[in-house]
Amino acid sequence: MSDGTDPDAALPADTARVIGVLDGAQRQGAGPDVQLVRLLSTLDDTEASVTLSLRSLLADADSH
Amino acid sequence: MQIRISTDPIGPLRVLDGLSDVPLSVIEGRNGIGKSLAVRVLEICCGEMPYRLRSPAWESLRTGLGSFEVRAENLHGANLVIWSADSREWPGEPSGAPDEAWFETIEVDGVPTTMSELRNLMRVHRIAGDEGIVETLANRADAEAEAVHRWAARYTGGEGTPLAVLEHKADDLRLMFGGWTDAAIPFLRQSLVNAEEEHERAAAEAERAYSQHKLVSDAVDLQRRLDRYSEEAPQLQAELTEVEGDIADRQARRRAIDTELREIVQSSALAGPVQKELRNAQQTTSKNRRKLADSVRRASTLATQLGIVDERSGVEAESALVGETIEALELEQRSLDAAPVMRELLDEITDRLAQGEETGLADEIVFEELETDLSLTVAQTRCGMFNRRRALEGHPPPPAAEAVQEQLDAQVRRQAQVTALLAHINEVERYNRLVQTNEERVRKAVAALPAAGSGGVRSLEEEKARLDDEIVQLAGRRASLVERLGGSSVSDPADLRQRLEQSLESAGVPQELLDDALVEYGDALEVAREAERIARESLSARRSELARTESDVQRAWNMLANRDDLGWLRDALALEPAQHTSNEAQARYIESLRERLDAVLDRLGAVRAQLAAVERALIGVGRHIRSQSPEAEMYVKELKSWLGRRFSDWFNNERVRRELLPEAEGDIAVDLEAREVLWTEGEIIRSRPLEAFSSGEQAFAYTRARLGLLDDEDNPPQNRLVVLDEFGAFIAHDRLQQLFDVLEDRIPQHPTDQVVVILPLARDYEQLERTALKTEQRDLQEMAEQVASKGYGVRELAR
Repeated sequence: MSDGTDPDAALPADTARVIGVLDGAQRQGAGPDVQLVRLLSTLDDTEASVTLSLRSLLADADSH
Repeated sequence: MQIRISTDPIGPLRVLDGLSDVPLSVIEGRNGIGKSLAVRVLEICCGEMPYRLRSPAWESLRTGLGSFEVRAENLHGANLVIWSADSREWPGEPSGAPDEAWFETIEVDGVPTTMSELRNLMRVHRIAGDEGIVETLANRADAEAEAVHRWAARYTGGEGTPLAVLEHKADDLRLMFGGWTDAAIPFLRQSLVNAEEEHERAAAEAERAYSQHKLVSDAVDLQRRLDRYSEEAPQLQAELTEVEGDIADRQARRRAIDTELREIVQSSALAGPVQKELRNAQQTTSKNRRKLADSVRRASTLATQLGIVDERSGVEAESALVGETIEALELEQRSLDAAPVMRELLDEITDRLAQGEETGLADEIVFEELETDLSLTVAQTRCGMFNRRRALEGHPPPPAAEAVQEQLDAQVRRQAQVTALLAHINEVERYNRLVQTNEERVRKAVAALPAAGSGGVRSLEEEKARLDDEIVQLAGRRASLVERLGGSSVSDPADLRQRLEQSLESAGVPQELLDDALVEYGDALEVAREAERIARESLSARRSELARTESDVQRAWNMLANRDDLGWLRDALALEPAQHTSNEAQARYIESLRERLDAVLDRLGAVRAQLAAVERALIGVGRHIRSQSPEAEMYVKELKSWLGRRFSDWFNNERVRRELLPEAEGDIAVDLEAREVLWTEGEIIRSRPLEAFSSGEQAFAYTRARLGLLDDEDNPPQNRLVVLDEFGAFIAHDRLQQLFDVLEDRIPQHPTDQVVVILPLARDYEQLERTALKTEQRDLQEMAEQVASKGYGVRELAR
């Protein structure tokens, strides 16, 4: 069974698969938070990574 | 490749001991000998997870298999691969596919290897005969649900997952910046003003109620004095008249004695010095008696005012009692109004802390609470105490404390009177001693008189001394009576009556309602004092809250503006502290930061529910494909559409089209909502339910399609084990040979594949051997012997 083109090929396979599923479930303005899932999947346990992610989330919150 | 599986199961599990090294074979065996289980163990060894999460079958394998070893020999590209593991070490809910961490050993020709490297060398594919298109598609939806579940557990589950780490960090920041809002400070300031006004009103009302009550209380006191006077005055006046008469009698007799004595002394021919000594002694005695009488009068008056007896032991006991009362009142006053003492204490400590700061101790820890992990530096402590000092500024004493102060003042005055009384008693005792000394002088002078006159003089002197003693005692008694009569010996209550009338007028209360008014105004005073107490406590709470909030804002701002580890946050906010100098501006800024943090926390928290909803929706889609109720709503429509497109892609694969819908033209579409496949033939749109692909010729075609997809696999490994399982019951026996032919035909194109067909034992080979042709007897006998010894037999269809 072919999965077709994977836009998240750079991500770990299971993450890319999950993001594919979430994209499938995403509706206009009311879908699951695929952007956050992408961010979580790239987070490592270093302080720099955590603060970088939080900084990005705070910037997003500001624009809301 | 030759595969050997060595197991020592803990429970009743059985696992086939291996697979022969032939390109195509059929394993026929009894139920329960572990044919399928062997294939699933091999799938796990090659990095596939053949079980659903939380399924009983997975739990049974994990807990029942125990230690095992698998050896694969004669592979393309390697001689020997060894796996060893203990299934009890495997995770109950795996977060991903099996990897090298699941195994004690994965070695290729003696060299440890990773699962990823191993999968380039060898993979296992199991094609289940009992799984039609409906189940395949439903299983795919289930597999997607499990992928979401595993991902959610790994990234958004408990402690240590990325989501939890982010939430902790955001939570820490949120807590760091307090719980107030930017509107809190203006609101608290206005509340404080309101509370001050309210307290001012309540205090004025309490003061007014107190004054009113005091007027009535004073009037009642005067009334009672007047009543008592009316009751006691006649008797007191009579006693006073009698005492004054006794005094006058004794004074008259004394004057007569003095005259007699003068005559006796003048008539005797005494030498000048003796006469002079007698006169001096008499004069000194008289002088001391006058002073003694004054002291007795003062002591008696004061003792009457105090309501005690003018004796040393009683007065000293009273002094001790008053001292204890004062001490108790001072303690009570401190408990009612600690503000003055606290201000004094805070002033002392903050002065000392300020000195410490000046000598470089500002950042030293001065307070540490281990239980709550709270610590304060010298500077923070001084700042906090300064805030508290400010909150206590102008703190008015409560009316209850004022009442205690009045009692305290009264007791202090009483203590001064008791002290004065003790001084009078000292004087009385002193003049008593002086009188006795001078009387002794008089007796000696009399003894020096000629014998003829000395007897009369001695007798007169003794009588005079007795009269003086009595006069002193009577003077004390008189003083006490006068005091009880209101300080005047004249029986005149007009002054008391006048004062009572003035009091009644001031209080605005008729005399006949005085007792009722006292109760009424007493109640009103209590209510007013309670209202004042509540208003005062409210005021105090507002002051404290404002001071605490301002302090919190200051502390939060200092952290945000100065802490080294929050540099990233300042950068993220592009914060320029100098632009926010006022307390209100800082509070507004921190509030906006907190709103953003709240939004972030909401967003982080929501993703768990979203992932759970997606998982439920995928399970629901699987149930819908199986003709069951989805039992979910959110995201179901979207995921049906998405999976429908993916399944359509699969149907449009050239190999699948050829096998299942050779007559279709153009695109084939899967409509999961309607559970059917659509295609066109000429100009006609045709459709077929998904179930129609699961029986007879279609089922066989579907198996061929799945084999074909394996043949098209990108980057195939060097060795591939393909197992066709559970086919006996679902492919008609007449089609089995057709299947074997297909499998045999593909061997030349796929020389590195090893294909095994697993079938249930459906024939009695011993019986068959007896009735078979001689050319077949040998093979049948061999199968019969294998089945008899191992429970299964292997037929090699190609070598």
